[in-house]
Amino acid sequence: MPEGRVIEGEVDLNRVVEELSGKAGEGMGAIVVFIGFVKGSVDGKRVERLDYEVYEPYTSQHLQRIAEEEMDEGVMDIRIYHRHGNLRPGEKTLYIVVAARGRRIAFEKARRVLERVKHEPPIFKLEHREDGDYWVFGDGMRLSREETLPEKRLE
Amino acid sequence: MPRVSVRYLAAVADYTGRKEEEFELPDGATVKDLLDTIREKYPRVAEIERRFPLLILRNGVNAKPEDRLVDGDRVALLPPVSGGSRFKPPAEYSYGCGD
Repeated sequence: MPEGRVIEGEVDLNRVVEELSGKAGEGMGAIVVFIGFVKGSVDGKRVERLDYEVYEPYTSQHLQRIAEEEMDEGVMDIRIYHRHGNLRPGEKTLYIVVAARGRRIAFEKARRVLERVKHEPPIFKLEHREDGDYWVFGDGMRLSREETLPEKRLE
Repeated sequence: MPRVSVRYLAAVADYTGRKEEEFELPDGATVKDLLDTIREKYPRVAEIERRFPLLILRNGVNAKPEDRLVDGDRVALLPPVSGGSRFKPPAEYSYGCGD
């Protein structure tokens, strides 16, 4: 069954793959796994931590909706798990697992699901770097927290 | 007198200094009335709106300014999502599935 939700800890991928492997008997021929990580360096600056803020229950509802909506021809199952909270470089942030009849469908569907997860659900990132804190509004678009916090403006 | 809870997400909370609060509004109050109340209480909210498009959700779906608020409504003010610099939500776009 397709599933999408926000999680706190890590996912046991072996368990998920094992579970989806059972669909081989129904014609499943490929599983693609995507894992997103916290990067340790952005714009040449060291990243100390990334805080993920979500808006529950709506973030999980939207991830679930993406998983269900992308279950079209040739796709056997989709799992989306997005972590929230404070994560350090090297920690996993996002898991997407797609089981499909063949590799082409599995890769294409995983890519499409990833793009939707990146752009649609209410998930917000605050990047703590050696040169300050930044809100991340998109690929490459950042706003320094020195500009958003009121006490900074009074200085 | 509808009592609604308001959530300020991510960078928006930096501008209001708090993450959530409740407002009691006159009968018949709309989403626009609530936003006007918030703008009056937090003048810096206008600064947010100059920086990025603010998204308003009511019970998890896109809110229209003319929507009437009812007791128990949950309203949220959100900045663009983290991967959203290239994302242009359609008019009927909603973040969640509603209640």
